[in-house]
Amino acid sequence: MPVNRFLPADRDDRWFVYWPACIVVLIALYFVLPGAYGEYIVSVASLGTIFAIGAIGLNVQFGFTGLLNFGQVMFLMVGAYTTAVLVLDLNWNVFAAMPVGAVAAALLGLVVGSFSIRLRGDYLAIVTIAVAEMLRIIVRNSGGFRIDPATGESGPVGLGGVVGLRGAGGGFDSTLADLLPFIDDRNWRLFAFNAFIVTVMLFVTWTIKRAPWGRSARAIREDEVIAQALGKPTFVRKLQSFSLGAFIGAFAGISLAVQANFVEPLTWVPLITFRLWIAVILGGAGTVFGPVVGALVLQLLFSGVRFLPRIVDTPLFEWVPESAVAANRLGALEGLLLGLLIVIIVLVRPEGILGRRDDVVLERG
Amino acid sequence: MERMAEPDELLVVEHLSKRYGGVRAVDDASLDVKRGSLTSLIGPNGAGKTTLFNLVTGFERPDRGRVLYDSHVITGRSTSRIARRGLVRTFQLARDLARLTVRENMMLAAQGQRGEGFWWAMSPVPVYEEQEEAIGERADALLERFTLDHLADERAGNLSGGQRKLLDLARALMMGPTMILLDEPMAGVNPTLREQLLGHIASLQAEGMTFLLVEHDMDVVMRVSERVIVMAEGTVISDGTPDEVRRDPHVISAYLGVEARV
Repeated sequence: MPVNRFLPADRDDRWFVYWPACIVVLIALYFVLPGAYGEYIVSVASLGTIFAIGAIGLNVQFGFTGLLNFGQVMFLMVGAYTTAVLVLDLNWNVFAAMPVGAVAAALLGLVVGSFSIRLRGDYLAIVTIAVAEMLRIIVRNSGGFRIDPATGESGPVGLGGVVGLRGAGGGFDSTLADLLPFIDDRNWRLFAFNAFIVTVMLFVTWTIKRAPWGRSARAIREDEVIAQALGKPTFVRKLQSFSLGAFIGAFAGISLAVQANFVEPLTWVPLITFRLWIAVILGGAGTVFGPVVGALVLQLLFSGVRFLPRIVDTPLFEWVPESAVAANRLGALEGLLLGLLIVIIVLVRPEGILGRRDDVVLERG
Repeated sequence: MERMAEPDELLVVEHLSKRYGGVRAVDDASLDVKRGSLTSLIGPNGAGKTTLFNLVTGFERPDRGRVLYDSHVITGRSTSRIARRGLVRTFQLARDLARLTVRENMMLAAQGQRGEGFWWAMSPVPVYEEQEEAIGERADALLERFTLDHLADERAGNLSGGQRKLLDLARALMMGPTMILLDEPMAGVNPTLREQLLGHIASLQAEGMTFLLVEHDMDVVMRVSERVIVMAEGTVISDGTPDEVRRDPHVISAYLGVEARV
């Protein structure tokens, strides 16, 4: 019996099936895989879902509306720092601080968008990457973002990081444990938290894509001049899309910060943005569930790199010199893999795993 | 010298000018279009017809002059605001949203859609569905009128050139316009489809629609227009009934050639 018979007719509705299936597979893997591997896969999924959140946001901007945002990481950063400062400096509850962090990112999206979004695609890409780098460097050099967890006061701590999100009063770990008493494993609780955010954001993006809003956004993606000629306020629509993508993306940064217990400027490099881009394209830009698939697959591959030395040890791969997979080269291998992946996607399946070819290649004749 | 628009003049263009570098694309052009009429704008390539369309519909800002639509000054207004006022255009090369379906192209053009509002669109409970259904029905009715109903779920990019011209006109109608600027609607359209398009234009005019038509097919122009405006080198050189224009020596030398074939 073909799988299609169990799936909703509209492709975008299928996330109702795909997403629970992903979670079931993860739970199954946890129980099937031997001990440490089972726990490892949960932490991989946890990280994967964080990137999925960021990718869902980017997908609203690029996939739905066609905005080339190469600075998505700035929204992750602003979300994370806002949350951290509210929790550590002003003693907010971390869960109250999170939405405020996301709103801060959305506002930044409005500000950056209002002066850059009129630009044609490629110029927007340059402006966004520049603003993201500027913000990162400002944060790195600003004392106000360095908070001593012991005293709660601003000052030089480490490399300019904010530490102690977990432990602080109303901190992440204890609150989450209170909220989810039936999950006794910390990794699982983190995953549950991320999965909850992913679910909410999938619902939001699915809702807005089905609405006439999504249709007019797609019209802008296809041909902004036509959208204008049809009476659509394209500037406002693009701004909304940009800001919503920022709001969603911020949760990825917030989640990353609370789980690492540490916010520092070195995290928010352009590489994160590019990972999100690859996740979106790999999964299928413009689809609802694609970014999640892309992010999870990407994380699996990256985490798999770690096992290369062990794979090379097996008789089948004797011919591979061990130095090729030495510990200090694994980082470079990740980069290599990333590049290779882009080439493969573009050549083999430019529409991504869940995309439709017609959405990518149909040209006017 | 400025003058008030007369009530039966729907579109008034006054002393419009636009230069690109050293080229005067439109040079002090003035014209008016009467409500409910079909007026044609003809002239050699590079006469400034399309630029004039762009200036009137807000795609470009004129250097000088003003445009009145329905007695309101619309010079320098944004394209989308002008379109919402009821002045709608089609394009020389049918510009459909190729990856959207024909029905989506149609539904997109409906004005005042509640579900296009950001917060409305986010609503998890139905707030725009009823309106959406009405828009869908209107789109289907128009598609049927233009015999495109069998292609409703086809992507617009898969349509033939002629079908796209039909879709362009049908989509313009979805916006509930009072006047349509048609930029070479007959270009690349086969004779059967051309008659069909002309039939639609005629019946729409009978229903009260105003048209301004840019067209190179003199056969069509002389047959359907009540009035013909001739442009050359950015300015209006002749204006009158098809018969008057056809005999105008300026027009013959600038555009029609010595032996006008019509």
